[in-house]
Amino acid sequence: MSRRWTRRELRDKNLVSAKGFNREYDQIKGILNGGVDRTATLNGWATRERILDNALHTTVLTENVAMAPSYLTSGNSGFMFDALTYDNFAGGWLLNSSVTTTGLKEGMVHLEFSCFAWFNDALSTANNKGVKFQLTWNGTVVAETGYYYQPWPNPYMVADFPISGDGTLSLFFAYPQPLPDSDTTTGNVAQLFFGGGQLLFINTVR
Amino acid sequence: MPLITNTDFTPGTLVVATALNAKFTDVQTATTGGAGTGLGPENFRDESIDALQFDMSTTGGGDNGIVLVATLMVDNALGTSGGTAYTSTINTNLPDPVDHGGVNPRLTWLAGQDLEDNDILRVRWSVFMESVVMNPALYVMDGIFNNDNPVWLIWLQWDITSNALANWVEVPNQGDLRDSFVNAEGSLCSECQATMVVPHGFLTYDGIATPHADLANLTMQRGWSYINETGVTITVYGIRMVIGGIYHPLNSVNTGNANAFAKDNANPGWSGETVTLANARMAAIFMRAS
Repeated sequence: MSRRWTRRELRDKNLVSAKGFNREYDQIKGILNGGVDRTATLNGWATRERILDNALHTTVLTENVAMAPSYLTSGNSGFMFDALTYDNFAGGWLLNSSVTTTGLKEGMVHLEFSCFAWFNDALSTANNKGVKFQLTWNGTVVAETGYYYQPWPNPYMVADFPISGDGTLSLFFAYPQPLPDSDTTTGNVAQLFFGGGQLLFINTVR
Repeated sequence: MPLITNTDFTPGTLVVATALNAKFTDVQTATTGGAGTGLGPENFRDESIDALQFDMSTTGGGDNGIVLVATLMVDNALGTSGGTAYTSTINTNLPDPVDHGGVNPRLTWLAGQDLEDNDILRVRWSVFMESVVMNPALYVMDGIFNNDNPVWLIWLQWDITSNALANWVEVPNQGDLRDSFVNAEGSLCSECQATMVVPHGFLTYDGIATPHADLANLTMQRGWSYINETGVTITVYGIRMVIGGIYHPLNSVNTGNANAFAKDNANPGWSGETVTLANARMAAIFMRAS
């Protein structure tokens, strides 16, 4: 039991001595000065206004996530998007963007990513084209899509994982290369673009 | 600072009323609420708050306001068939509300739902595309011309005016697809953060046969979030999907800016194409952002 309001009651009809008063009063003062706990407070008193911001969770929303400008080629493909081309895609997973967080606490993270995408599926029966996306936390894969094969997909990823504090969240994408025989004439034609994306990151404190 | 810092009486001192009252006044001062007074972090020991201390009163959905404020879901109760056909239009027409299947798949709050400063609104929606009817003589999926790579767009609008729901506008970070480009109108891709894309056909190319075919039976899902950082409360009365088509890509050379979706101003082929949507669902979560 954390509190003890009464040490020894002052006896009725006695003169109040300083020592006796001090003994009783110090109990109250000691509890109020850093000793109040859940046995001494009402149930249901803690409403939102009494809770410090970020005490329970922190939300980070990254808006307008799109293919990094360094991957975009323009002007080669009529009215097609500025986009990734075969000439500037060397295969494998491409790092699109990273976010290094600050102020996160040990606990869990809920992560959501949503965007729209387009890819040029010309000659796709020969090349089995598709696009896929991946999210990593400090280099560990936390979410990965399968291949999207339709020309206008809406990539979507959700992940929940534990963290020990701040780190780096990265978005990757991959797009298979063509067979050389089929696409030697289309090396600089637009192939892939994604945009209109948002990355939602909710850190709940342990 | 709400700590009580008075000193004890010196033993042997005569305790008089005035001095006694001053001791209890100090307690009153430390514990009375108000600016600069009242119990605070210094008064509580570690782990002094347990689940019982939280105000757990809710409306039945776990929304006590501490983290979760409100939730709402809607489903038009259709499956994969029996949907509504939407027809593509020329650029001067407004988009159609996705308003089909007998049950209106839009979220509404009769009394309005407050999105306070530093609250976040999260909307997730999905649509089942039953079929499209595509004219392959007009479109190619992989072409470079201004009527190629056709796509329908479904995006979000909200009404933050009243429960009459007569003032629908695009949600934040979503354009209305009516900005002017050269010989076209649409929106930059950066302003399509609440936009779902629906392909108008797909490519099946064996080098010999007709390469473009109608698409059918495709489920799509999308998400959009918004943190209110305006400093004032926004009251939301409704959120709905709208559909427009047919759009195509524009690049930075065409827009003079960046990638965009657009309808061509003077191409009659944009009219008369159809897409049929069946099941449609939408859910919204209002919660504290921190």
